[in-house]
Amino acid sequence: MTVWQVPGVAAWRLRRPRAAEWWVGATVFGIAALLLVPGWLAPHDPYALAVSERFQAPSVAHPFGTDDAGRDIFSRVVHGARYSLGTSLIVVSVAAVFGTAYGAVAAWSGGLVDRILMRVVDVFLAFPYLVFAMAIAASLGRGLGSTLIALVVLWWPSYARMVRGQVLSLLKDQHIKAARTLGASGGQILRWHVVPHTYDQVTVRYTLDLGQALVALTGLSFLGLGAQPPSPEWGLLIADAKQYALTAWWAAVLPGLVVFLVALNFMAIGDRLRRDGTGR
Amino acid sequence: MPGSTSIRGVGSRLVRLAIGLGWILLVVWIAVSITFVLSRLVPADPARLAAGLDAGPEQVAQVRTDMGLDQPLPVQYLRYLGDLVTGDLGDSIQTRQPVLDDLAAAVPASLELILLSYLGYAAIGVLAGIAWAYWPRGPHTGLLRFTGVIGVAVPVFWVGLLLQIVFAGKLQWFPVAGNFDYGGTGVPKVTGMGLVDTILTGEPGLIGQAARTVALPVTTLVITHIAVTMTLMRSSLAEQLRRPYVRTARARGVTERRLVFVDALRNSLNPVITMLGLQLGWSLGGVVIIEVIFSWPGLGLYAYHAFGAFDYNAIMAITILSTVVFVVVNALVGTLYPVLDPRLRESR
Repeated sequence: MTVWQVPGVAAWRLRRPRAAEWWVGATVFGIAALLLVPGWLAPHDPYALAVSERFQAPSVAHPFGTDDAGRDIFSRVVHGARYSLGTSLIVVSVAAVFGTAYGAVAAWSGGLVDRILMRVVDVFLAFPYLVFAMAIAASLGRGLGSTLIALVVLWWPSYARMVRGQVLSLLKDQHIKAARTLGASGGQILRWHVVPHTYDQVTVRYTLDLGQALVALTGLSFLGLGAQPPSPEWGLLIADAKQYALTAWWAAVLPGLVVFLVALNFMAIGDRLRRDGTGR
Repeated sequence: MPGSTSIRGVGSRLVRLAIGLGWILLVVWIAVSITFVLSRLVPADPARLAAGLDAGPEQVAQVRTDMGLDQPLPVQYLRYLGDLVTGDLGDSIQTRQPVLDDLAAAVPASLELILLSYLGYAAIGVLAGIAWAYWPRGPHTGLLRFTGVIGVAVPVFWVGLLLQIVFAGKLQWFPVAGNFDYGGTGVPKVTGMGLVDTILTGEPGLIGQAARTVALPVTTLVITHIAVTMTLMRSSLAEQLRRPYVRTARARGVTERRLVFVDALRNSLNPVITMLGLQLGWSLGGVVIIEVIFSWPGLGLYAYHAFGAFDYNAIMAITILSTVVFVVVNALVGTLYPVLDPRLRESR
């Protein structure tokens, strides 16, 4: 029996391991291909203007049709993955790493330090995140970097709170006492005996959040706060297509469908991981 | 002694209220400070924007002095806080009016969308969740599961554009954009919400006209917001229905309706109420994209234009407003728990 081992994801013992393995493997492979070699997948140059071919409906030559400047929308979506998916990955990764470390340190320190650190988290969680992300991105000036910062600032606290709770309950565990008896230092215990046990939940959360971050990021770009033209970022593509959505539906609908399906895929994988984790 | 405990109860309630208010003020103050600092870090020059493109350097300098932008940052910050305390949010760069007036003009349109959609997804979500928990298997579960999946992953702008293209563009059942047009209809502007005002006149034709304008934006919001309430209601209630007390009550002959709607529902409502509170608090953020798609002249569209023009007073005002709404709604939800759940009343 093959058990696919991701560090910390012991939850990966599925009833039908093969199908789910294929599914996750295909997702990872697909994303890697989109991010690393979009040029191999896109049939056309995403920036090439061809006014004579503007507003063409989806066909074999142009699977997603063309936009108002005759650019091939499918190629733009493929190249846009780097901006949309890549930024979402960075947002959630930074938030997860920072939030996990923050939560672990808070729980480990306890007492006043813990209370102060968690108050900060409470303040961040008390912001209406969408409006706040918009305000931060708008204040920093439009651009993908601004949206990235805005989303990270609002995303890490939920990891901090989740990990803190877990670490607190883990610290009462027998194996921590054993490690302490054996003379392990605080840092060692935290690094080797506590934090790895939080990876299961963090992985589930991470996967779910990839979908949420993608939807949030494209939403901000849709409002003009993220990537700027002529970047083929997905939210921006759809915002541009909004003006002529009633005449050339494909330009707005098909890239949006891609955002939806990619987000849905992350959510479905995360949901699967969670159910397998709790089913143990 | 009942008397002494009630006095102590009032005292501790006052303390709690004071702590709650202090917390709200703290959060709002931090929100103001963060946006203030961020909006001043950027190289963009608001005075340049406010003076207009064809303004000379002297005019720009004049505008800068008028706006107080030549002062050191701490002075600007303290002045902003001082104005804020007196209820002055500054002037908008775009409209050249007090931001407060702009907000007051935009609130009814947003409120119309928020309230209608909120009633829609709260009511339908709770009822659908109850039905799903009570009848876990059946022809409806496929649809409910589909709605639940869609609602968590679908981008709001995509649903909005899709509905707009299909129902306004192709089928032309609804107007493409804009809210109810008062011009020439003679409908008095009482609340500023088209649907409410036309209902007040009682004329079916006008009500239909107003209803058609809200239909697509509200439907979009319901579709994208219903999933969380519904799935949470379902899992929470299903968990209660598995409890032994439900079996006991059944054995004692308690009617199913009473069992579900009184006993089990009451025990399972807390997480749902929390989520509905959060969703009401978030609703301002949710309508921004909708208002942009449907050109709905509310707070969201105002915010959108403010982002575009780097209208920092307007941006800050909207951040403050939505933070206040969010924190106050959450605080109110917190006071609602003991009312709904006697177990929490005991422990306090």
